[in-house]
Order: sequence, then C-alpha cells, then structure tokens
Amino acid sequence: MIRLDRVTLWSGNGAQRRLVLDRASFAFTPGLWRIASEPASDAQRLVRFLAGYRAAEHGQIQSAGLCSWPIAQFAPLGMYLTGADLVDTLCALYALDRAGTFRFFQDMLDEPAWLGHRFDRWPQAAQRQFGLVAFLAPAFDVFLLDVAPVLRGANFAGRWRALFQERSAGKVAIFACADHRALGRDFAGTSLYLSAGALRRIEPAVLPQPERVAG
Amino acid sequence: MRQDDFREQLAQVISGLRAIERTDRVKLYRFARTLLRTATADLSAPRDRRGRTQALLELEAAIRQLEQPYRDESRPAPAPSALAPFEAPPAAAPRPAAWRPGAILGALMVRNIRVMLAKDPLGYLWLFLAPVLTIAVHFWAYTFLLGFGSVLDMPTLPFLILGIGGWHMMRVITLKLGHELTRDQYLARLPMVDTLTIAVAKALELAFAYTVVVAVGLAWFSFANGYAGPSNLLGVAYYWSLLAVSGLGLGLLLNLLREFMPGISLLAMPIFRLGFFFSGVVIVSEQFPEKYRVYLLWNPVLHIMQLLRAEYFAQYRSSDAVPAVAAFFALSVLFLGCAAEASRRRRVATA
Repeated sequence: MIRLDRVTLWSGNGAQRRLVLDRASFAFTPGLWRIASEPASDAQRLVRFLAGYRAAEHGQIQSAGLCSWPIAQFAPLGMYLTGADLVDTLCALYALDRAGTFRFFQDMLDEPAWLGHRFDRWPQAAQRQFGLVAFLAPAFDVFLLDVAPVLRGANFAGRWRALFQERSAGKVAIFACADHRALGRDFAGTSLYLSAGALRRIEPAVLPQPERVAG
Repeated sequence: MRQDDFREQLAQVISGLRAIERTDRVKLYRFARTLLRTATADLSAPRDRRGRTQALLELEAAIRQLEQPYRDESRPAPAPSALAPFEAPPAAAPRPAAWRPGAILGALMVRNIRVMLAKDPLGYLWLFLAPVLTIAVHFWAYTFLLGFGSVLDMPTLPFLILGIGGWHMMRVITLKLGHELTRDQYLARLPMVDTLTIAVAKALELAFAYTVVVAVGLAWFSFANGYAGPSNLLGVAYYWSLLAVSGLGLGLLLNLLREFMPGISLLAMPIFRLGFFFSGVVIVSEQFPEKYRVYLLWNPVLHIMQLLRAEYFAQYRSSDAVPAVAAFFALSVLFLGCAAEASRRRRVATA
C-alpha cells in the first residue's frame, strides 16, 4: 500500500512552475489505479514521485512492501552485457532464483536466442520486450506504470497481460495513462483524475478522449 | 524496393532454406535488419523517422511470422485460454536482512567488472599497466640513475610497489567515481540501489583489483628474494583501507564540486601529479632536509603512506607520521563525501 500524507508537489521551474498536488492525502490500497491528468505529464510526474525520483515540498509518502521502478524508466543494467548477464544481475539485486528466472525470460521473450548476445546488438523491439519482462520478474508489492506498456506481437502481449494480472492480484498497481478507455479494455480498475492539486475518483466515460496527432 | 517486396523476398529466401539452423536464421535476420537500416538511412531525404521505424517494426513482425512454424515445432504456442501458465520466477532461498546491502554491493561489483571487460578490456588493462610502468620508471631512476639499492634500508622494489600501488588506487578511485556516478545514474532508478551504493561498489571494485595486483607483486618479490614479507599484516590492511576510504571521500566531494565548477576535474589532475612527489609515494619525509619536513607534514596522505610502510617494513619506523592524523583525515573526508552526496541527491530530487 502507498499512502500520501498532506503532500505538496510542484512541477517545472520558473514561469512554468505548476502545482501538481496541494496538500493531498490519499491511500492507494491493493487494486489497480488509473490516473489521468490535464496535462497528461502531471500523472506521470506523480507516478515517478511515488517511485521516489522526486522529493515532495511538504508532506510525506509511506509505502509498504517492495516498490517497482516506473515501467518506462527501466534502463538496462549495462548495454555491453549479454542478456544472460543482465538476468544474472537482476537476480542478484532482487534475490531471485537464477535458473528459474532464466527459464522465465526464455519462456516470455519472443526471441530468447538473443539472451546470449550483447544487449546493445539486440533489435529495439527485443530490448523493449526485455524491459517489460524484467518488470514482472521480481515479486513487487507495488507496480508503477508511468506509461501504458507498448505490447507488440499478439503472443507476447497475451502472455504479458496474463502474467501481469496474475502477479498484480492483491497488490497495488498504479497506471498514469492518457487514454483511460483504451486502458480500461485491458485492465479493470479504479479511475482517478488529477486536477487543481487534488486526486478525485471519476468514471472513465466522462474523461475527454486524448487528442490524436494527425499523420 | 518497397517494404512489402523486401519482406516477400526475405520470406522466399528463408522458405527456400527451410532446414537451416536457428543460429543461421538469426544471422540472416540480422543481415536483413542491417540492410533495411542502411537503405532507409540513405534514401530518406528529408529524414522520415516515423516511416523508418515503421519499416523496421514491420520487418520484425515479418520475422516473427516466419519464425512461427519453427516455434510450433519446438514448443506449443500458448492457447488463449491458457495464457497464464508461465511461471513467475521463484525467489531464491531467503537470506538474513543484514546480508542484503552486501549482496547488492557484490552484484554491482560483479556487474561493473563485466561491463568494463566487455566494453573496454584494454582500458581495464591500462588501469594496472599505468602503475606498473610508473613503478618501472622509478625503479630504474632509483637503481640505475641514482645508484640506490634501498631507501632508508627498505628494498627499493617493494617500497615502490607499496607506495605507487596505494597512491594509484586512491587517485583512480577519486577521479573515476564522479564519471561512474554520472554514467550509471540510471541504476539508481532501481528501488534497491542508490547513488552512494553505486559509488561504494565502484570504490570496492577498484580497491579489490589494486589490492590483488599489489599483493601479487609483493608476494612475488618476497618469494624471489627470500624477503620476510609484511611485519604487521593487520596494520598494513588498516592503512591500505584508509587510502581507499580517502579516495572514496575525495571522489564524492569532487563529484559535488563538479556540479558547481565543471572544470574542477582538470584541476584535480595536476594536483594529483604534484601530490605524487610530496605524499611519501616515492620519497618519504625523512629523506627531505629538516627545514622542509614541517611543511610536508601538513599533507595528511603522507602520514598514511609512511605509516603503511612502517607497518610493512620491519626496518623502517617513521619519525614524522602520526596515526591520529591519518585516521582523522580519512574519516573526515569520508564523512564530508557522504554529506556532499546526500546534499547532491536532495538537490536533484527537488529540482
């Protein structure tokens, strides 16, 4: 669980300085939470704040259990290492069983043969898949998704969604997402709207659709 | 060539080579990707990044499609109703909570060594080659130029190995720490890791590597010349670790200063060059005339260096160095370095 206690959070500097949270108190109990905001970057900022990237001006944040990194912020643990070495490092950092984790990566990745190659030589799509699979490897108690995961390939998308739902059951999962309706099709949960420094529960149907950029 | 044509031709080539091994197919796919990247890089004027990405994604999709039959042969594809049976990785046998920081430090050290060996093995070799060459030059100067077989009754070679090895360890830790923290700052995004852990892991890795090299050099000398070895091994380990701790503290301080004065690294280099001659590395204070010694003793690194030698060589007792100065300097620098890192982190978090 994550609890915000009278937290004040600002974003930007100088003339662009904007209030994101104004002495807000909120408890993210186990379940899936979707946060929208205007502008959309505020929700992302809030999720990264929950991950501890930023400090609040006032108030405090209490979290129980192991918290994930924000999904878009996963940077490989070394571009020059092989996939197998990266899995090894991840196991050492999060106290995971090496053989089981390696099998898990082999099962989840579309192209497990890349695990034997240096990570900087992987195709971008495979690198992205590795980041998504690594997100599900440790047994996190709080899952933070600062963007909706880009799942390419029907098989991989199905496997990832199924495992995410299984692993996040009974845990806290917080999404920052511009398109609640699209996200709602894949993941059921509670919608929140961040505006005027406060978090409010809201029905996804009343949220405005995000603008699509032509071309 | 249009993307569709390219894909179809690739499919034809691969279907014609139906029985080829997976490794060969992977090579073929890599070749196709390189070809497509090269083609789209040259032809797009003005550059159409979105189109290029789309073409590469389409190729990846085509490759997956082509791989499907092979995949089906090797293992069954998951049925939609049975998507969940992928087992999540089990946790390893639980370890005591007190071991966790040690395990994380160990994991980061192993990772650092792997990255360095994979990225730039010659650079790693140079880390050790530089002190070896410095030792060789000074050994030549002492033995053949000045005709000294020993320095204050200490054999020249172990005198230089100990001094130059320790000095290089402290210098490399100080200068490399800032770069490592900048380069590996994304590691601190992992909830288990913070910048101080990254810095300590790097310092430990370098200290470990230099300790092994110096220990091997001294052991070889003792074996070849029948020399007794260190008179007090515990004392040597203590003053050696004070050098490493000083390097860590100075590195963290330098990292903070670099944010205010980006050119400070350029200033640090000549300071270390100058310090080499006035820190007891190749000349101890007892070799200087009396009137200059009082000034030299203001340098706390000289105290550590001479006490280190006093613990190693039974025939040398430093009349100038004070143990309290050595310990006070190392611990103060470490404390200031940790405070600097905490302050830097707070500023980054609230920026």
